[in-house]
Amino acid sequence: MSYLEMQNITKSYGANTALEPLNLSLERGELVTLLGPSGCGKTTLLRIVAGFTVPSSGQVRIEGKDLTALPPSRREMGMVFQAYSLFPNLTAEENVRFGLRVRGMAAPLREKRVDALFELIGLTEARKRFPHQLSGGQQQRIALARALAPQPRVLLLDEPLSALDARVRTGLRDEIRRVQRETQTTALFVTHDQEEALAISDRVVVMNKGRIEQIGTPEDIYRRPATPFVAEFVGTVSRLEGRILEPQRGLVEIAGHSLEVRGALGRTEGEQVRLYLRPESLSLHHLDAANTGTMLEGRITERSFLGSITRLTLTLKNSDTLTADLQGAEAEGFPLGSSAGVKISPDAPQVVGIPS
Amino acid sequence: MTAPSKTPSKLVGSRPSIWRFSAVTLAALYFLVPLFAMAVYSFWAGGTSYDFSAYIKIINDPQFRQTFALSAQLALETIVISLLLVVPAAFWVNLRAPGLRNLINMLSTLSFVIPPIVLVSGLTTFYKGPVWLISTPQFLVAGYVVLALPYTYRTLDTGMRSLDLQTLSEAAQSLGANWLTILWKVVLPNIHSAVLGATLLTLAIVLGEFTLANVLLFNTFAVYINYIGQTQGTPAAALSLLSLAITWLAMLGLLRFGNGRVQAAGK
Repeated sequence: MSYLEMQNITKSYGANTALEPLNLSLERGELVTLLGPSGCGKTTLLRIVAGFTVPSSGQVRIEGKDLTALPPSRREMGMVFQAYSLFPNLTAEENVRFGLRVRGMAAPLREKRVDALFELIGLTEARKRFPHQLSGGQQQRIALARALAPQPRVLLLDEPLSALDARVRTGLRDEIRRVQRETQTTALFVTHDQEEALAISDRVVVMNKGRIEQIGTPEDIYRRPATPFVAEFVGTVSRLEGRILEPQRGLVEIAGHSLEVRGALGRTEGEQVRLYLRPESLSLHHLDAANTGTMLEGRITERSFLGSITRLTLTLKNSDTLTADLQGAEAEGFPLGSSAGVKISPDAPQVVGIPS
Repeated sequence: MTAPSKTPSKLVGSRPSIWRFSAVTLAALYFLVPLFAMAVYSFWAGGTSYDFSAYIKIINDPQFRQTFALSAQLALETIVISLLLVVPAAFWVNLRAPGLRNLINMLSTLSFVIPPIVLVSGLTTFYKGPVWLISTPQFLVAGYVVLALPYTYRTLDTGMRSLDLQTLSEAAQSLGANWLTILWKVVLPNIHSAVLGATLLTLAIVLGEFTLANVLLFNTFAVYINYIGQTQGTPAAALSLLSLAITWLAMLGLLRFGNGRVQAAGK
């Protein structure tokens, strides 16, 4: 039995379905991220777990105990919100103390806990400050400490980083993960930022239109997307359409070339397929008399310097485009407008069938 | 290249300041001249002599203290009942029923369109009601709550709309707080200025309310002021100034008390 279980949860608003029947389980101490575009139902699911939204059907269970009918105040879940949610009339330490006082913890224990939490988040010097005297990042760290103070059974984080600027966001993201690991708190994190989801999670749940598209480790989600939506939503990807030539050898015909692709093994001859390729899995080669005609060929039509890598867009003869990331000096040999050949390792493409 | 002329900006800058000064002076004169005239008259003791006799007479009148104490007590009761009714109502409308806001707004302003005399005739139908209520001045509080409603509701509603009420109440709920704790520990301290504003307005309304008390035959401070005004000369002026001073002092006291607490939270 898992620690936190969502069983057959659905949610409808009149004729609109926000969540199709879905099941999801979290193990104790695990951080699971709900990832998806706006309106995919991830926040609705989080709010159902928190008790702020009543599901149309289904159950939320912790250690087998049904919480669905319990009000949020009795679920013992800590929550960090997207909007700054510190109580403006209370100092940072009074905010952290709030949940402990409400739950009637004895003063000596309470103060010990508050001290420990400020140590944990490294903001001891800000204890006496009011929220308006704190930066956005500091406010969210205090909000994290406040949510953790009563030792919640589950920590719920509803896009807690989205109001922060990029540099603070990355720092606080790592901080949340560190604190969650140190406190061994089970956490459900909601974000629409795929980089954030991949960096912070033990497992990622990709959602779309109220359904779960895929549940997996960040590596699974990135390298082995289960659906076209996951492949295109998570990370940068190039898409090529082709036809299975020889399923026994994994040969696929793409733009007049025959490519060996492991994911094509065992498919049906003549089947239309789509190949998804990550930019780092492509290798570019200069064309010469010896190799012309042996690779996919195209012209460099876009070139973006991104610091540690250079991102090149190669337009093939059939107008399909491929995006490739090259390290440092490697990209210098491929100026804008030059021709190049592309080698694709048989393991690289993720193959998805196109329904006829 | 020619240096930009400063003349136009000077002209533009000086005109509003002249207008502003004139407007403020006119407004100040409008308010202060009658007060000053009333003050001079209140000290008049006949002929060319001026003294404090009118003030001494008023202060020594037991009715002055009785009626003021009664009005202050009624004001306190009205404030408590108004806050008990309106704070949860405004909280609920903002949090759970924003669609009802227009209806509540309209209901709260009914006392603007229904004259107090109509309210009195409504209240008099209760004369057959329980004696413990209708035979005491506390009967007036029901009417006062209605009269103060536009001010209390709108002030508190504005205060609540300035907060992210949903996030704050959900944060408190997730920390284990029930609705009463949320109202008492989260909402009220954060709408402190609005509560203070509503309290001041209610105080001013109750201390000055005449129609309800007069028709229902209760001798409140406003009725006493009216009686003195009709029967005595300089004491009426002295009483008016005294009541003005008392009201302002009460308001300043509340403001000072409130501002001290609000500043601590950095508002």
